[in-house]
Amino acid sequence: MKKVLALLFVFSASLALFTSCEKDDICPGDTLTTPVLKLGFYNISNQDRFKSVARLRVIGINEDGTQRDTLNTFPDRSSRTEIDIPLRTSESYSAFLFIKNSSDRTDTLDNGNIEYVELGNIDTLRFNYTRQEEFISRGCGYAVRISELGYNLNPDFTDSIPNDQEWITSVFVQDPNLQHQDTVHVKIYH
Amino acid sequence: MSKFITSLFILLIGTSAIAQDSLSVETAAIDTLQVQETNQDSAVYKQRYGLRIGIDISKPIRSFLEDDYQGLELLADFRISHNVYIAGALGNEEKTTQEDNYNFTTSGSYLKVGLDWNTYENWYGMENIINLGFRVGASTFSQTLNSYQIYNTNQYWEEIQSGITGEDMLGEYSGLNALWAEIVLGIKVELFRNVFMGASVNLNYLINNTEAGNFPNLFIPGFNKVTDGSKFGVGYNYSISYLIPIFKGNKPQKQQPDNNEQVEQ
Repeated sequence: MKKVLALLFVFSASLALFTSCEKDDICPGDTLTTPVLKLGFYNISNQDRFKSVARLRVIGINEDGTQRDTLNTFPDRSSRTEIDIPLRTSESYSAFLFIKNSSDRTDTLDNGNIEYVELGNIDTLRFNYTRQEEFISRGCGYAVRISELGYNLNPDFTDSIPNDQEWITSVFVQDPNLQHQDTVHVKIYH
Repeated sequence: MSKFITSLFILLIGTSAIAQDSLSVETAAIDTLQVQETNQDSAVYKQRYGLRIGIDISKPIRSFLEDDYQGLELLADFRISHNVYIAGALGNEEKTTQEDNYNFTTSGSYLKVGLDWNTYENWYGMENIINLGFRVGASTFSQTLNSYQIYNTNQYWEEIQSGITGEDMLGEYSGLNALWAEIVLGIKVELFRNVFMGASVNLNYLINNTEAGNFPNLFIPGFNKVTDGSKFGVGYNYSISYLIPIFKGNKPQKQQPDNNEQVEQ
Protein backbone atom coordinates (compact mmCIF):
# COMPACT_ATOMS: atom_id res chain seq x y z
CA MET A 1 0.00 0.00 0.00
CA LYS A 2 2.84 2.33 0.85
CA LYS A 3 4.30 1.74 -2.57
CA VAL A 4 0.97 2.62 -4.18
CA LEU A 5 0.81 5.86 -2.22
CA ALA A 6 4.37 6.71 -3.14
CA LEU A 7 3.56 6.10 -6.77
CA LEU A 8 0.45 8.26 -6.62
CA PHE A 9 2.61 11.01 -5.19
CA VAL A 10 5.02 10.68 -8.09
CA PHE A 11 2.09 10.83 -10.53
CA SER A 12 0.66 13.99 -9.09
CA ALA A 13 4.05 15.65 -8.80
CA SER A 14 4.81 14.85 -12.42
CA LEU A 15 1.44 16.14 -13.53
CA ALA A 16 1.98 19.38 -11.68
CA LEU A 17 5.35 19.68 -13.40
CA PHE A 18 3.82 18.92 -16.76
CA THR A 19 1.10 21.53 -16.60
CA SER A 20 3.06 24.35 -14.98
CA CYS A 21 4.47 27.35 -16.79
CA GLU A 22 7.81 26.98 -18.44
CA LYS A 23 10.47 29.59 -18.95
CA ASP A 24 10.32 29.48 -22.71
CA ASP A 25 6.71 30.66 -22.87
CA ILE A 26 7.79 34.30 -22.79
CA CYS A 27 10.28 36.17 -24.93
CA PRO A 28 13.13 37.44 -22.72
CA GLY A 29 13.86 41.14 -23.13
CA ASP A 30 17.55 40.64 -23.83
CA THR A 31 16.92 38.34 -26.81
CA LEU A 32 18.12 39.72 -30.12
CA THR A 33 14.94 39.72 -32.20
CA THR A 34 14.09 42.32 -34.81
CA PRO A 35 16.92 44.86 -34.51
CA VAL A 36 16.62 48.63 -34.40
CA LEU A 37 18.87 50.72 -36.61
CA LYS A 38 21.35 52.68 -34.51
CA LEU A 39 22.41 56.00 -35.91
CA GLY A 40 25.29 58.14 -34.67
CA PHE A 41 25.87 61.79 -35.54
CA TYR A 42 29.50 62.67 -36.20
CA ASN A 43 31.50 65.76 -36.98
CA ILE A 44 32.33 66.02 -40.70
CA SER A 45 35.57 67.88 -40.00
CA ASN A 46 36.67 65.53 -37.22
CA GLN A 47 35.20 62.23 -38.19
CA ASP A 48 35.92 60.23 -35.02
CA ARG A 49 34.02 62.69 -32.85
CA PHE A 50 30.35 62.71 -32.09
CA LYS A 51 28.57 65.93 -32.91
CA SER A 52 25.14 66.37 -31.48
CA VAL A 53 22.18 67.52 -33.53
CA ALA A 54 20.26 70.33 -31.86
CA ARG A 55 16.50 70.00 -31.44
CA LEU A 56 16.31 66.83 -33.52
CA ARG A 57 12.94 65.52 -34.63
CA VAL A 58 12.48 62.36 -36.69
CA ILE A 59 9.27 61.49 -38.52
CA GLY A 60 8.54 58.34 -40.48
CA ILE A 61 7.01 58.59 -43.94
CA ASN A 62 4.21 56.32 -45.05
CA GLU A 63 4.11 54.71 -48.46
CA ASP A 64 1.66 57.33 -49.70
CA GLY A 65 4.00 60.12 -48.63
CA THR A 66 2.05 61.18 -45.55
CA GLN A 67 3.87 61.72 -42.30
CA ARG A 68 3.58 59.46 -39.29
CA ASP A 69 3.76 60.52 -35.65
CA THR A 70 7.03 61.80 -34.26
CA LEU A 71 9.51 59.02 -33.53
CA ASN A 72 9.19 57.88 -29.94
CA THR A 73 12.61 56.38 -29.18
CA PHE A 74 14.07 59.66 -27.85
CA PRO A 75 12.65 62.90 -26.42
CA ASP A 76 11.31 64.98 -29.27
CA ARG A 77 13.31 68.09 -30.22
CA SER A 78 16.22 67.25 -27.95
CA SER A 79 19.92 67.37 -28.70
CA ARG A 80 21.14 63.89 -29.72
CA THR A 81 24.34 62.15 -30.71
CA GLU A 82 22.83 58.67 -31.07
CA ILE A 83 19.31 57.52 -31.84
CA ASP A 84 17.48 54.24 -32.46
CA ILE A 85 15.41 53.92 -35.62
CA PRO A 86 12.78 51.16 -35.91
CA LEU A 87 12.60 49.78 -39.42
CA ARG A 88 9.52 48.46 -41.16
CA THR A 89 9.40 44.66 -41.15
CA SER A 90 6.74 44.35 -43.86
CA GLU A 91 8.63 46.40 -46.47
CA SER A 92 12.25 46.42 -47.54
CA TYR A 93 12.63 50.15 -47.08
CA SER A 94 11.86 52.79 -44.44
CA ALA A 95 11.97 56.53 -45.04
CA PHE A 96 12.32 59.26 -42.43
CA LEU A 97 12.46 63.01 -42.18
CA PHE A 98 15.41 64.16 -40.07
CA ILE A 99 14.73 67.68 -38.84
CA LYS A 100 17.50 69.77 -37.30
CA ASN A 101 16.57 72.80 -35.18
CA SER A 102 12.96 71.73 -35.33
CA SER A 103 10.33 74.29 -34.42
CA ASP A 104 6.90 75.36 -35.63
CA ARG A 105 5.39 78.49 -37.05
CA THR A 106 1.69 78.69 -36.38
CA ASP A 107 -0.35 79.99 -39.28
CA THR A 108 -4.04 80.80 -39.04
CA LEU A 109 -5.67 79.93 -42.32
CA ASP A 110 -8.47 81.90 -43.97
CA ASN A 111 -11.05 79.34 -42.82
CA GLY A 112 -9.91 79.69 -39.20
CA ASN A 113 -7.98 76.45 -38.96
CA ILE A 114 -4.50 76.46 -37.50
CA GLU A 115 -1.62 75.05 -39.50
CA TYR A 116 1.84 74.27 -38.18
CA VAL A 117 4.71 74.94 -40.52
CA GLU A 118 8.03 73.27 -39.76
CA LEU A 119 10.85 75.82 -39.70
CA GLY A 120 13.74 73.37 -39.16
CA ASN A 121 16.13 72.05 -41.73
CA ILE A 122 14.56 68.87 -43.13
CA ASP A 123 16.57 66.09 -44.72
CA THR A 124 15.04 62.88 -45.97
CA LEU A 125 16.83 59.61 -45.51
CA ARG A 126 15.53 56.43 -47.00
CA PHE A 127 17.02 53.11 -45.89
CA ASN A 128 16.82 50.10 -48.18
CA TYR A 129 17.57 46.61 -46.88
CA THR A 130 17.01 42.91 -47.32
CA ARG A 131 14.66 41.21 -44.89
CA GLN A 132 14.98 37.61 -43.77
CA GLU A 133 12.37 36.20 -41.43
CA GLU A 134 13.87 33.91 -38.86
CA PHE A 135 12.48 31.79 -36.04
CA ILE A 136 14.00 32.92 -32.75
CA SER A 137 12.42 30.81 -30.00
CA ARG A 138 9.08 29.45 -28.81
CA GLY A 139 8.34 32.58 -26.79
CA CYS A 140 9.50 35.12 -29.37
CA GLY A 141 8.37 33.47 -32.58
CA TYR A 142 9.61 35.05 -35.78
CA ALA A 143 11.76 38.13 -36.11
CA VAL A 144 13.21 39.87 -39.13
CA ARG A 145 16.95 39.93 -39.69
CA ILE A 146 18.13 42.98 -41.64
CA SER A 147 21.02 42.74 -44.07
CA GLU A 148 22.58 44.68 -46.94
CA LEU A 149 21.47 48.00 -45.55
CA GLY A 150 21.81 50.89 -47.99
CA TYR A 151 20.61 54.47 -47.95
CA ASN A 152 19.31 57.18 -50.18
CA LEU A 153 19.73 60.76 -49.01
CA ASN A 154 16.98 63.19 -50.04
CA PRO A 155 15.40 60.98 -52.74
CA ASP A 156 12.22 62.86 -53.49
CA PHE A 157 11.18 64.91 -50.50
CA THR A 158 12.07 68.55 -50.16
CA ASP A 159 11.80 71.01 -47.33
CA SER A 160 8.45 72.69 -46.81
CA ILE A 161 10.41 75.93 -46.85
CA PRO A 162 12.84 75.59 -49.76
CA ASN A 163 16.36 75.25 -48.45
CA ASP A 164 19.31 74.36 -50.60
CA GLN A 165 21.52 74.01 -47.57
CA GLU A 166 20.92 70.39 -46.39
CA TRP A 167 22.44 69.65 -43.02
CA ILE A 168 23.55 66.05 -43.59
CA THR A 169 26.87 66.09 -45.43
CA SER A 170 27.42 62.38 -45.84
CA VAL A 171 26.31 59.00 -44.58
CA PHE A 172 28.45 55.94 -43.92
CA VAL A 173 27.00 52.46 -43.34
CA GLN A 174 29.31 50.84 -40.84
CA ASP A 175 27.40 47.61 -40.12
CA PRO A 176 25.06 46.78 -43.04
CA ASN A 177 23.78 43.61 -41.30
CA LEU A 178 22.83 45.19 -37.96
CA GLN A 179 24.52 42.35 -36.14
CA HIS A 180 25.10 44.03 -32.81
CA GLN A 181 22.67 46.13 -30.87
CA ASP A 182 25.33 47.98 -28.87
CA THR A 183 27.25 49.71 -31.66
CA VAL A 184 26.37 52.36 -34.24
CA HIS A 185 25.28 50.89 -37.57
CA VAL A 186 25.14 54.06 -39.61
CA LYS A 187 27.26 57.18 -39.15
CA ILE A 188 25.79 60.50 -40.20
CA TYR A 189 28.29 63.31 -40.75
CA HIS A 190 27.27 66.91 -40.48
CA MET B 1 28.87 16.58 6.79
CA SER B 2 25.87 16.21 9.07
CA LYS B 3 23.70 15.91 5.94
CA PHE B 4 25.87 13.08 4.74
CA ILE B 5 25.53 11.24 8.05
CA THR B 6 21.78 11.74 8.02
CA SER B 7 21.43 10.39 4.51
CA LEU B 8 23.68 7.47 5.36
CA PHE B 9 21.47 6.76 8.36
CA ILE B 10 18.33 6.87 6.20
CA LEU B 11 19.98 4.58 3.69
CA LEU B 12 20.78 2.08 6.43
CA ILE B 13 17.21 2.11 7.70
CA GLY B 14 16.01 1.58 4.15
CA THR B 15 18.31 -1.38 3.62
CA SER B 16 17.20 -3.03 6.84
CA ALA B 17 13.56 -2.56 5.82
CA ILE B 18 14.23 -4.30 2.51
CA ALA B 19 15.96 -7.12 4.35
CA GLN B 20 12.90 -7.57 6.54
CA ASP B 21 10.68 -7.61 3.48
CA SER B 22 12.57 -10.41 1.82
CA LEU B 23 12.54 -12.36 5.04
CA SER B 24 8.76 -12.22 5.29
CA VAL B 25 8.42 -13.32 1.68
CA GLU B 26 10.57 -16.30 2.37
CA THR B 27 8.43 -17.27 5.32
CA ALA B 28 5.38 -17.06 3.10
CA ALA B 29 7.09 -19.29 0.60
CA ILE B 30 7.65 -21.87 3.30
CA ASP B 31 3.99 -21.73 4.28
CA THR B 32 2.89 -22.24 0.71
CA LEU B 33 5.18 -25.18 0.37
CA GLN B 34 3.70 -26.82 3.44
CA VAL B 35 0.17 -26.46 2.11
CA GLN B 36 1.33 -27.72 -1.23
CA GLU B 37 2.04 -31.09 0.31
CA THR B 38 -1.54 -31.54 1.44
CA ASN B 39 -3.49 -30.03 -1.45
CA GLN B 40 -1.58 -29.34 -4.62
CA ASP B 41 -4.35 -27.80 -6.75
CA SER B 42 -5.36 -24.84 -4.64
CA ALA B 43 -1.91 -24.17 -3.29
CA VAL B 44 -0.11 -22.60 -6.24
CA TYR B 45 -1.82 -19.73 -7.94
CA LYS B 46 -1.26 -20.09 -11.64
CA GLN B 47 -0.26 -16.75 -13.09
CA ARG B 48 -1.92 -15.80 -16.33
CA TYR B 49 0.29 -15.11 -19.33
CA GLY B 50 -1.14 -13.42 -22.34
CA LEU B 51 -1.62 -10.39 -24.49
CA ARG B 52 -3.08 -7.32 -22.85
CA ILE B 53 -4.54 -4.74 -25.19
CA GLY B 54 -5.83 -1.36 -24.18
CA ILE B 55 -6.52 2.22 -24.97
CA ASP B 56 -5.28 5.45 -23.42
CA ILE B 57 -8.52 7.00 -22.17
CA SER B 58 -7.00 10.41 -21.51
CA LYS B 59 -6.60 11.13 -25.21
CA PRO B 60 -10.25 10.63 -26.27
CA ILE B 61 -11.30 12.68 -23.23
CA ARG B 62 -8.95 15.49 -24.21
CA SER B 63 -10.19 15.26 -27.80
CA PHE B 64 -13.71 15.73 -26.51
CA LEU B 65 -12.90 18.59 -24.13
CA GLU B 66 -10.39 20.55 -26.20
CA ASP B 67 -11.20 21.87 -29.64
CA ASP B 68 -7.58 22.00 -30.70
CA TYR B 69 -6.61 18.44 -29.81
CA GLN B 70 -7.36 15.05 -31.28
CA GLY B 71 -5.58 11.90 -30.25
CA LEU B 72 -5.81 8.16 -29.93
CA GLU B 73 -3.37 5.69 -28.44
CA LEU B 74 -3.56 1.90 -28.42
CA LEU B 75 -1.50 0.00 -25.91
CA ALA B 76 -0.39 -3.60 -25.73
CA ASP B 77 1.88 -5.72 -23.60
CA PHE B 78 2.84 -9.35 -23.59
CA ARG B 79 4.15 -11.14 -20.56
CA ILE B 80 7.38 -12.97 -21.24
CA SER B 81 8.35 -14.01 -17.73
CA HIS B 82 7.06 -13.77 -14.19
CA ASN B 83 7.65 -10.03 -13.98
CA VAL B 84 8.82 -8.87 -17.42
CA TYR B 85 6.52 -7.66 -20.17
CA ILE B 86 7.16 -6.55 -23.72
CA ALA B 87 5.15 -3.36 -24.09
CA GLY B 88 4.24 -1.07 -26.90
CA ALA B 89 1.99 1.74 -27.98
CA LEU B 90 0.72 3.02 -31.27
CA GLY B 91 -0.81 6.45 -31.46
CA ASN B 92 -1.88 9.39 -33.52
CA GLU B 93 -2.14 13.01 -32.42
CA GLU B 94 -3.19 16.29 -33.96
CA LYS B 95 -2.71 19.37 -31.88
CA THR B 96 -3.04 23.06 -32.63
CA THR B 97 -0.96 25.31 -30.41
CA GLN B 98 -1.53 29.04 -29.99
CA GLU B 99 1.59 30.90 -28.96
CA ASP B 100 1.89 34.66 -28.47
CA ASN B 101 2.93 35.47 -32.01
CA TYR B 102 2.04 32.40 -34.02
CA ASN B 103 -0.27 29.43 -34.33
CA PHE B 104 0.66 26.00 -35.60
CA THR B 105 -0.78 22.51 -35.96
CA THR B 106 1.20 19.33 -35.43
CA SER B 107 -0.13 16.11 -36.86
CA GLY B 108 1.41 12.67 -36.91
CA SER B 109 1.75 9.12 -35.67
CA TYR B 110 4.09 7.39 -33.29
CA LEU B 111 5.18 3.98 -32.14
CA LYS B 112 6.72 3.06 -28.79
CA VAL B 113 8.30 -0.31 -28.00
CA GLY B 114 10.04 -1.45 -24.84
CA LEU B 115 9.99 -3.53 -21.70
CA ASP B 116 8.10 -3.24 -18.42
CA TRP B 117 9.39 -4.76 -15.24
CA ASN B 118 6.82 -5.48 -12.53
CA THR B 119 8.27 -4.57 -9.18
CA TYR B 120 5.16 -5.41 -7.17
CA GLU B 121 5.04 -8.59 -5.11
CA ASN B 122 1.37 -9.55 -5.32
CA TRP B 123 -0.71 -11.18 -2.64
CA TYR B 124 -2.10 -14.60 -3.37
CA GLY B 125 -4.40 -14.53 -6.37
CA MET B 126 -3.71 -10.99 -7.41
CA GLU B 127 -1.99 -9.81 -10.53
CA ASN B 128 -1.57 -6.09 -10.09
CA ILE B 129 1.41 -4.31 -11.50
CA ILE B 130 3.63 -1.48 -10.41
CA ASN B 131 6.07 -1.24 -13.20
CA LEU B 132 9.23 0.45 -14.19
CA GLY B 133 9.94 0.38 -17.87
CA PHE B 134 11.71 1.87 -20.80
CA ARG B 135 10.59 2.58 -24.33
CA VAL B 136 12.07 3.67 -27.58
CA GLY B 137 9.68 5.99 -29.34
CA ALA B 138 9.59 7.13 -32.94
CA SER B 139 7.29 9.58 -34.62
CA THR B 140 6.72 10.85 -38.13
CA PHE B 141 4.70 14.01 -38.38
CA SER B 142 4.18 17.34 -40.02
CA GLN B 143 3.81 20.85 -38.68
CA THR B 144 1.69 23.51 -40.31
CA LEU B 145 2.31 27.15 -39.50
CA ASN B 146 -1.19 28.63 -39.63
CA SER B 147 -0.42 32.26 -38.88
CA TYR B 148 2.29 34.44 -37.40
CA GLN B 149 3.30 38.00 -36.70
CA ILE B 150 6.80 39.40 -36.73
CA TYR B 151 8.05 40.02 -33.21
CA ASN B 152 9.19 43.61 -33.01
CA THR B 153 9.42 45.40 -29.68
CA ASN B 154 9.09 48.84 -31.26
CA GLN B 155 5.72 49.22 -32.96
CA TYR B 156 6.34 52.74 -34.32
CA TRP B 157 5.15 51.61 -37.76
CA GLU B 158 2.05 49.97 -36.19
CA GLU B 159 2.40 46.98 -38.44
CA ILE B 160 0.67 44.56 -36.07
CA GLN B 161 -2.13 47.06 -35.35
CA SER B 162 -2.79 47.52 -39.03
CA GLY B 163 -3.19 43.77 -39.41
CA ILE B 164 0.00 42.96 -41.26
CA THR B 165 0.86 39.31 -40.68
CA GLY B 166 3.65 37.14 -41.97
CA GLU B 167 3.23 35.23 -45.21
CA ASP B 168 6.64 33.96 -46.26
CA MET B 169 6.83 31.16 -43.69
CA LEU B 170 3.23 29.96 -43.76
CA GLY B 171 2.47 26.41 -44.81
CA GLU B 172 3.11 22.80 -44.04
CA TYR B 173 6.49 21.49 -43.02
CA SER B 174 6.29 17.78 -43.70
CA GLY B 175 8.60 14.79 -43.51
CA LEU B 176 9.61 15.55 -39.94
CA ASN B 177 10.60 12.78 -37.59
CA ALA B 178 11.94 12.20 -34.11
CA LEU B 179 13.39 9.39 -32.06
CA TRP B 180 13.46 9.33 -28.29
CA ALA B 181 13.93 7.14 -25.21
CA GLU B 182 11.48 6.99 -22.32
CA ILE B 183 11.51 5.92 -18.72
CA VAL B 184 8.04 4.85 -17.64
CA LEU B 185 6.64 4.53 -14.16
CA GLY B 186 3.21 2.97 -14.08
CA ILE B 187 0.56 1.10 -12.20
CA LYS B 188 -2.06 -1.35 -13.41
CA VAL B 189 -4.85 -2.63 -11.21
CA GLU B 190 -7.21 -5.47 -12.11
CA LEU B 191 -10.70 -4.05 -11.63
CA PHE B 192 -12.68 -7.03 -12.92
CA ARG B 193 -11.55 -10.36 -14.23
CA ASN B 194 -9.06 -9.59 -17.07
CA VAL B 195 -9.92 -5.88 -17.09
CA PHE B 196 -7.15 -3.56 -15.96
CA MET B 197 -7.04 0.11 -15.27
CA GLY B 198 -3.71 1.83 -15.40
CA ALA B 199 -1.87 5.07 -15.14
CA SER B 200 1.68 5.99 -15.98
CA VAL B 201 4.04 8.89 -16.30
CA ASN B 202 6.99 9.00 -18.61
CA LEU B 203 10.11 11.04 -18.89
CA ASN B 204 11.37 11.34 -22.46
CA TYR B 205 14.80 12.11 -23.80
CA LEU B 206 15.08 13.22 -27.39
CA ILE B 207 17.78 11.33 -29.30
CA ASN B 208 17.19 12.48 -32.84
CA ASN B 209 15.05 15.30 -34.13
CA THR B 210 14.76 16.08 -37.84
CA GLU B 211 13.28 19.52 -38.27
CA ALA B 212 12.65 22.09 -40.96
CA GLY B 213 15.22 24.87 -41.25
CA ASN B 214 12.98 27.80 -40.41
CA PHE B 215 10.41 26.21 -38.14
CA PRO B 216 11.65 23.91 -35.37
CA ASN B 217 9.68 20.99 -33.96
CA LEU B 218 7.81 22.48 -31.03
CA PHE B 219 5.51 19.52 -30.44
CA ILE B 220 6.15 15.90 -31.33
CA PRO B 221 3.28 13.38 -31.30
CA GLY B 222 3.98 10.89 -28.52
CA PHE B 223 6.81 12.99 -27.09
CA ASN B 224 4.72 16.09 -26.34
CA LYS B 225 6.03 19.61 -25.96
CA VAL B 226 9.62 20.26 -26.94
CA THR B 227 11.22 22.86 -24.69
CA ASP B 228 13.82 25.34 -25.97
CA GLY B 229 17.33 24.22 -25.19
CA SER B 230 16.29 20.96 -23.55
CA LYS B 231 16.08 17.41 -24.78
CA PHE B 232 13.63 16.29 -22.10
CA GLY B 233 9.90 15.88 -22.36
CA VAL B 234 7.19 14.46 -20.16
CA GLY B 235 3.98 12.61 -20.74
CA TYR B 236 1.23 10.76 -18.95
CA ASN B 237 -1.33 8.18 -19.77
CA TYR B 238 -4.45 6.63 -18.26
CA SER B 239 -5.40 3.30 -19.70
CA ILE B 240 -8.09 0.65 -19.70
CA SER B 241 -6.91 -2.69 -20.96
CA TYR B 242 -8.10 -6.24 -21.38
CA LEU B 243 -5.96 -9.30 -20.81
CA ILE B 244 -6.39 -12.14 -23.26
CA PRO B 245 -4.95 -15.07 -21.31
CA ILE B 246 -3.02 -17.47 -23.52
CA PHE B 247 -1.42 -19.82 -21.03
CA LYS B 248 -0.75 -20.12 -17.32
CA GLY B 249 2.51 -20.46 -15.58
CA ASN B 250 3.76 -21.01 -12.07
CA LYS B 251 5.51 -18.41 -10.08
CA PRO B 252 9.18 -19.37 -9.94
CA GLN B 253 9.85 -20.91 -6.53
CA LYS B 254 12.34 -19.26 -4.28
CA GLN B 255 15.08 -21.47 -3.02
CA GLN B 256 14.23 -22.51 0.52
CA PRO B 257 17.00 -21.39 2.82
CA ASP B 258 18.36 -23.67 5.52
CA ASN B 259 16.94 -23.26 9.00
CA ASN B 260 20.37 -22.51 10.36
CA GLU B 261 20.79 -19.56 8.06
CA GLN B 262 17.47 -18.14 9.12
CA VAL B 263 18.56 -18.19 12.75
CA GLU B 264 21.65 -16.29 11.82
CA GLN B 265 19.59 -13.67 10.03
